[in-house]
Amino acid sequence: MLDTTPFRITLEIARSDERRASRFDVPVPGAASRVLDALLYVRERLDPSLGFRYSCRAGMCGACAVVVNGKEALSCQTAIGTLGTTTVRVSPLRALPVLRDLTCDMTPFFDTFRRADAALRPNDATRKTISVMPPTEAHRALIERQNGCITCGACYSAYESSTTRTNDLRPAALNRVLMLSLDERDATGRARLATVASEVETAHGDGLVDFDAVCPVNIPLREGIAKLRELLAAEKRV
Amino acid sequence: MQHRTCDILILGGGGAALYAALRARDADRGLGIIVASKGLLGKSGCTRMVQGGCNVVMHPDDSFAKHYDDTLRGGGMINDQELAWTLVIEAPERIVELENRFGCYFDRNTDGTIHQRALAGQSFNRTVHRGDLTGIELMNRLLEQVLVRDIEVLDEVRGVDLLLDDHRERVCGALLLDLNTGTLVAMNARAVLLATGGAAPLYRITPASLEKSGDGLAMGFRAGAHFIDMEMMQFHPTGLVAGESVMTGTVLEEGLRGAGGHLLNVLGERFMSRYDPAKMERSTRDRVSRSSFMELRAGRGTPQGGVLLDVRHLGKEFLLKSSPGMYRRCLSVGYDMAKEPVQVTPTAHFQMGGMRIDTECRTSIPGLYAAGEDAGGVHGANRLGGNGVAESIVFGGIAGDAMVRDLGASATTSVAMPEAVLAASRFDPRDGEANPFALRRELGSIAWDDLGIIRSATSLADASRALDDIEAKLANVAIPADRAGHAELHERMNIENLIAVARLIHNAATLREESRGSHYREDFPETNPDGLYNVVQQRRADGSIASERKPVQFTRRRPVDLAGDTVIPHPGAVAMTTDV
Repeated sequence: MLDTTPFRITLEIARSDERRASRFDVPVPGAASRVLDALLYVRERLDPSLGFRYSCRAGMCGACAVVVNGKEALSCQTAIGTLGTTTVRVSPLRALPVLRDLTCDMTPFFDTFRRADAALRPNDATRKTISVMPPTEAHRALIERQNGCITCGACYSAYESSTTRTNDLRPAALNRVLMLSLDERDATGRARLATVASEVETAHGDGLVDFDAVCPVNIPLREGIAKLRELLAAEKRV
Repeated sequence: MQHRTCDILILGGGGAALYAALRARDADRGLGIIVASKGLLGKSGCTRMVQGGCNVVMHPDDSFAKHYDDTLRGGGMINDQELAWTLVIEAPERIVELENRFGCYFDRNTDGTIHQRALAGQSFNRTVHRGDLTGIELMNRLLEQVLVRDIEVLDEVRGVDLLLDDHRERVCGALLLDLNTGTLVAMNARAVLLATGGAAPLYRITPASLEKSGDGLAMGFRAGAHFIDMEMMQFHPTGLVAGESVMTGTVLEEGLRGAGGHLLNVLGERFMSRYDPAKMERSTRDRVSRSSFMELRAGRGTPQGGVLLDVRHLGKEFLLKSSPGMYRRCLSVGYDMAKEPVQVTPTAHFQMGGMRIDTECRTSIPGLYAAGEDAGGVHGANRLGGNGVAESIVFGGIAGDAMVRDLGASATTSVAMPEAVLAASRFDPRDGEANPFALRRELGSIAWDDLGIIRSATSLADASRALDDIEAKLANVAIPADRAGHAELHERMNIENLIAVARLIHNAATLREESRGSHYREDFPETNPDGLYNVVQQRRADGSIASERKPVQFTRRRPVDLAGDTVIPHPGAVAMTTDV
């Protein structure tokens, strides 16, 4: 049932300008209200200077990823009632330059896709028909398992918190590299794989915290990286 | 103010904008192409949120004629017949390109051939999809292709106004505003594409991404472009009711009704029996939305303003298999669909009207192009499910190609600087006390009550007065000297643009004294055989709207050719499962 029992929270926001207020008393109309609702309440009624980002508010665009009570989450999909605290702490993603309050410059994150060349390089770009690709084949099933990333940057942020390295490709881009390596339509699979080899080694050996657990769409990123290692090992044997 | 130059300027961050950028870049590697997006590129806009999929003729037993006829019937026969034909015949190539060049993988049958299903109003299973999250697949692949190309991306930079040449005959750029730095940029461009999306967020309840505010439409209007079908706004019947949360208005997909879900009022009556006893809940989007609205208006809704969608009898197993995304979405706001009815409301979904274009996406102003929801005419009075994303990729691609081709013939025209300075003068700082966010809520309610699902001469007159009132109050919203990250300033600009669109809707809805497709006049509830025209509008020099009724050109089909309803081949074709 739609819970319409109101309550109040204290919203603690990491502000980029320390002179700005960081604690707000915010009414919450029901347990399912989102962290994004609380942020909008602050902007529209208490402090219009508050910076945060959102777009689809349905968990599909990934624009609103922030850190809520210490864990990466989409502000639009995080029901306040599920947090179990009356003080809710919100801060920007880690490892990215902060633009204003909760908004980060996402360029370093998208640069990982550029550096990994994480886009299909077609081996038959002029083909006029759709390829027959049975979904039951093992590699297709694996691609399917790893698919659905909403490029929110949550794993990028969680990854940073566990390592001091700053130039890694990190889970989201590596996950896309894996998918492309398995894709029969891609022409540069092996070459692309070679460029990420050292990063995959590090990703495995660094004793990372559970960046899997922060993925809002539950992609098994850790298993994906293990699979990438397998592919690389197989390459070396060839 | 900064001054910059490029060849092609694309405004927008959704499917049409990205597709145009890719096609233009691949057509000519020497051009300077800039994409400016109000949000983050590939994340803002509505293509992301596409659930159903993309209509495309691929199966040997399907045909262009069938898809075309379905589209015209759905559109109440007032579609631009050449644009609709273009949609149908270009869509297959786009799907092939998305798969073979850009890396999309759409759902397959077990034998590896592409899977197609039917959404409402289709005579054949022709919707290509990726589960119930087609938009994510599409946008991810388009975005990564843009990232690895030499295309300059300006994130969180919005268009303010188009810039015209000295003779005010040709668009030669746009004034842009960087949301984060507050910097104004006079961008000189040889071609400009408006692909910023429609103005569904004008309405109090909408599933559209929240940053959209009809910016391209308003900019085009102020520059003098022609508009068509602006009275046509589609409401989806099953938006979620989640109290005062942003989750209110998000769409619960049509498949739930198609599969046999019931709509109940608060008295427990299946109210569709009053409005469409033959088709009941499987009636068309416009009729179901209207019926729900009437129940709500008659006081037979829930205290939170919803009717009830009851799918309990379909069983948890079926629901989890056919609509896992929807099941999770409902659960996250507190409804277990398998155990209780879900509160739903109509929600402002898609704008059929827009700038009038030719089949090359050219607007009435040289140098200015429009695609996606910024353009009108493709869908007529009502859009079929699955034709929206088809429009984005077909016409986005066409716009990219056409701009490159047309550039060959056009000399560089530099922006008249007085024009840029004039456009920038709207940012002269001023004091004010009005809260723009409160004004926005007011505007949403006015549009919802008086310009929405049910209209009448009375409601339209009320709307007109209320819009005047909002506009007067808007003048009392401050304009800051420091524009950086200023949410109130942006909301002020959003409201300005939404009011411009609201006036176009109001004007066209007043002119169309009949009911057709998504446009319903309570005082003229019948569809009039003389209503086969389009309302075409343009701005007058004094800012008012000049409008006229232009007869539909029946270049390919006459109304008599398409009498009767679309024949749906097998009931229940709305089934959502793939056999994967």
